[in-house]
Amino acid sequence: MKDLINHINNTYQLSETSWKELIKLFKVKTYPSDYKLLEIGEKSKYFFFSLKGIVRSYKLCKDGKEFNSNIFTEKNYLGIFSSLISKKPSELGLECLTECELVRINYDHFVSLSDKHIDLNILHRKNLRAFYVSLIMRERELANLTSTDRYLALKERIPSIDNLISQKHIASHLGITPVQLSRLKKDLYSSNS
Amino acid sequence: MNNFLSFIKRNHPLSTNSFKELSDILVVKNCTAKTILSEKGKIPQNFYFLKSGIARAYLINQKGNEYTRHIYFEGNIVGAFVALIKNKAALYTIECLTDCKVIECDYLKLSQLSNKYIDIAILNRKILELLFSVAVNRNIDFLTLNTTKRYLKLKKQIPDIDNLVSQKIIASHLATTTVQLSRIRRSLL
Repeated sequence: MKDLINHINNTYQLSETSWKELIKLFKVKTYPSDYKLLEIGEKSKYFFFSLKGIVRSYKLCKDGKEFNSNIFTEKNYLGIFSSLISKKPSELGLECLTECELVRINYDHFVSLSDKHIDLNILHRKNLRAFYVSLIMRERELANLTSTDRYLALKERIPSIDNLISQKHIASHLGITPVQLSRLKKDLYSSNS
Repeated sequence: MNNFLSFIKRNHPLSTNSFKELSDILVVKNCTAKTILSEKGKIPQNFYFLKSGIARAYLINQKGNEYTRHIYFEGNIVGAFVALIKNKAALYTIECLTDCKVIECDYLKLSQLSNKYIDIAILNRKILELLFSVAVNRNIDFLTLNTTKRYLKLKKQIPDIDNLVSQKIIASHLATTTVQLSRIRRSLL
């Protein structure tokens, strides 16, 4: 929990009243690897903060292909915010890739609180802004970078990614097949040496 | 200001006082085609509500190609938000493609008003949520749809798109070339 409290303090200083109200919404839970935090087609109710472990959001296409829209790392918020905002069934699923210790927060409860307390509203706005920035960065990668450059960008963000999650999940984050990923890595490392 | 008023009402109605405070920081502007609303390399100060006209946000990528991140139509919120949020130089240029009527809003002043009035804070959050949803969907499209399917989706959203903006801009929005786009259009006939 200390990591979440630090994260909040680094984002915006809350009043004591707001802290007291906010902390009531936090629920720390441990989830096994492969656990589905949200199924595709389900309405999203919660968002999370990862204290430990890695989570992915993914989409399943009609032809059965899976794509990882995001890989969420420790000490970050995660969730299917599009479904939280629209209150519609989620197009994306949310799944633990490792054993995870997460703080679970009910989004509607959080929003009602933040509509009452202006400091929580500011915190929320700052978090949404940070999330927005990461989405636009990812868009630029997807639209403008080759898969090799996207792999390098991922490695830069999470240096130990190859040891943390399977190659299948990395490939699906890059929008390529595992075979293409292994070829890409071979080319990359043989040209470096 | 009618489509602007309905935009506010739809997202979060404001009290009379908040609306007056907000109106005080807004400026209505008429821009001719090719006007730059926000320039790459400069720290932006404002964002806009597009009352009428068409605009776009674009950059030149490492390969030297234009990439159009967004094509804006009337009723859209327009701005280099990553740069506004980080208070850093913009990576994208935002330009009017046709004559445009915009409502200009100072980003910092809106933040200050949002720190004072909870209804403006909620409206501000809703605007952010809107931008957020658009960005999420665009990322999913890039990951899961090929160029042809992205073009069809764009046509579905804006059926008249081929008459509204040039093929060069549509191609750069789909992250493809005009040659490939014309091949795609032929194959769909």
